[in-house]
Amino acid sequence: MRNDFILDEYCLTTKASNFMEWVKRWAQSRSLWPILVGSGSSANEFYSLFGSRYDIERLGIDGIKYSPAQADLLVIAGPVTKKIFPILKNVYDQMTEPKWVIALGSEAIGGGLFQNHTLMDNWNEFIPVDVNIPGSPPSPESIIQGILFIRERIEKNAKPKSDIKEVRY
Amino acid sequence: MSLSLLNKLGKYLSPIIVEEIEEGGEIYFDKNEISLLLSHLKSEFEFLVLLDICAEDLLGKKNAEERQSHRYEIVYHLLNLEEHTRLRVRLPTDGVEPILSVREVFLNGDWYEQEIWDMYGIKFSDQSDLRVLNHQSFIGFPLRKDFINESNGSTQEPYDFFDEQESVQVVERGLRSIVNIGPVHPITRGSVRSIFELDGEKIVRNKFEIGYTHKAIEKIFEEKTWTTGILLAEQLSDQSPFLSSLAYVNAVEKLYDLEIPDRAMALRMVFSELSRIVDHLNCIGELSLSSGNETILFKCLDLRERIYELFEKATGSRTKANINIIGGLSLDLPIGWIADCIIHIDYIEDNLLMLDKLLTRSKVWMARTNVCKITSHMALEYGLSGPSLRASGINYDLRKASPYYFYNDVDFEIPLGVNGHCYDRYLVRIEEIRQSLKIIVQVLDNLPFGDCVATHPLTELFHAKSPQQFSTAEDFVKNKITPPSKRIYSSIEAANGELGFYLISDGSSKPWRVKVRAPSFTHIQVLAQVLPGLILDDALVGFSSLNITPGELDR
Repeated sequence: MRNDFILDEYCLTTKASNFMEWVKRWAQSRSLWPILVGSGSSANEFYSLFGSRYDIERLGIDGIKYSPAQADLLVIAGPVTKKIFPILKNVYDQMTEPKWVIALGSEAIGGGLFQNHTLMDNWNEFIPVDVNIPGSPPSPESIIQGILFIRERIEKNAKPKSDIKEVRY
Repeated sequence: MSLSLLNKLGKYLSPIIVEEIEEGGEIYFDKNEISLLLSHLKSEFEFLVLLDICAEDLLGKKNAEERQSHRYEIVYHLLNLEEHTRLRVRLPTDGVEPILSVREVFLNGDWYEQEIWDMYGIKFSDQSDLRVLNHQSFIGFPLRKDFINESNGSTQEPYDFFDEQESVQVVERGLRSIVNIGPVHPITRGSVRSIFELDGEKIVRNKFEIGYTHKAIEKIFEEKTWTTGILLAEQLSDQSPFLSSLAYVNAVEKLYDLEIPDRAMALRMVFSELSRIVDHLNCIGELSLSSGNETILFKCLDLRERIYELFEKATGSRTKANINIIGGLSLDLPIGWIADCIIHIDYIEDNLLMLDKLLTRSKVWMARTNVCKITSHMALEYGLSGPSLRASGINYDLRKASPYYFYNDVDFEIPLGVNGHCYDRYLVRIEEIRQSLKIIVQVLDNLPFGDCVATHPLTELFHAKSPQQFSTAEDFVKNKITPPSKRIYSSIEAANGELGFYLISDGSSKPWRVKVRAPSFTHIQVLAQVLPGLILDDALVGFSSLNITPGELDR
């Protein structure tokens, strides 16, 4: 209902370009298209979201896109190894702007149990992360909350971390 | 039964001594003709299946036996299906001269040998330099005891997958095309990259590259204590973590010679059958996804959710229950859980009937999954196990062949396939779900009373602390609960096949070496043999029908 009031307000008082800007943000926030990279139990829990119990489609996420060019939400599950990192970076570079990144599970965030020679521990210097969701694996409820965070940020016109130039490429 | 076989074997190999161990026999073979020995064992004594090849680094081992003047040891695990006998062939080597390869005797030996080169730098004859699990620009051999990580920060560089010049020319002339699938793909689950060389739509040849989620679990095992290893073992499977931790805990209990109470055994059976159902449901869902039948996937997700709910009620966690401890279970069932379980079992049973209607008797589904034939001969040559082996018509299930816990006392049947098509693998899985439900009901009906944890100094120490799994190495030494120094191989029937742990203990609080015998690592090799001649779409159906789990594939 709140959104309807905002719609009235914009229609009456603001310019058309502002209104279109708002519509764009509204549309973006309600049609996030995710791409999932990685495996393990966190990825498994991400798949659970598409079942009837959690029904992520009500948030506008209609299936996982396996073409990076169509996706705007990168979900990274499981530890980022040195072997998969070039592919992950390749996927990230192909995604359309504005792009958002979720690190799913403690293995993805910092390696978790697997602190050894296979782990790419500084991957988030190259791929800026917007939302970290801890847990091994995180529960579906917390994944939904993470997605809602991103939705809120899009609505408030916050820029994704990928736009901030301090990041080393 | 098995004793007579070992006696015969002992007479045949006369100067070489065949030792009797718990699982069967052990041969210490210090000559170079290993491939000759294994081919004799295969043809004369029917050791048809090569379960695993693994290596051990003896550098700096405390309780080194007297005959160890060498540095490494290669161990071949063989299985005789007829007599249910296992044989372990230990081959000492100093790692300088290449060892005779057995990949012509046992076809699945190829990747195992490649993995040993990757991890230890031990060469086998006529072997390529490609690494299996580590990335191609990696320096050093990580499972050696004196390994220092020198390739810090380096990542995989692109390289030619089909290295021959010829294929490039063929592609340039426009006759063939090369298609890359994965690793970012729903069916390959983020761990397998597959490259197909296509003639029109037909696959001419294909290759798999694995290791994208390789986390060196076997290396971390060596740095953690025996009890912390349970957490690592759970990471091996994303669908059924309970089964993989059970395999580890079972092996460690064998090592300690620890008997767990009846109630713990029964509850472990219940939880492991529930996990098996989850795994099979997931496989059926994925099979339907890859064959363009997405509705079934959502039905399977719904059924899976029911079991996760049961796990959450009993343990507090949906997937990684982490309730296995050495010596039993850390939790007992909450009040009312059994009634809930019966309700959910009824629901799943009803819905299986619906799956039957939609899939089993559907002509479209039959025609779509009637591909990717694995003959029984091929299944044995490649050492398949679990539902994929039984779908090829070979009756071998560890729950029947060498029953652990109460599998001897419950009434259930082993479904078998006939042709070895994807449809057979589907049928075996869906029937196994029914049998698992049957087992659960029987066990819950006759659930023994009593404690869930064995009385043993080890369990007393960890039962007193509340986060029971975390223990320091000093705790072990102080309380004198370090295991005896020996080698042990123990396996259970996991959802995918035989999941085994080969544990080597040197009598300290940490394992000297842990080798995981993962079924997926074998299964993916047979796929590369089967796919040529099929069309590209069928490749994905074949891939998902084998249920390849990245956790245990890459380890």
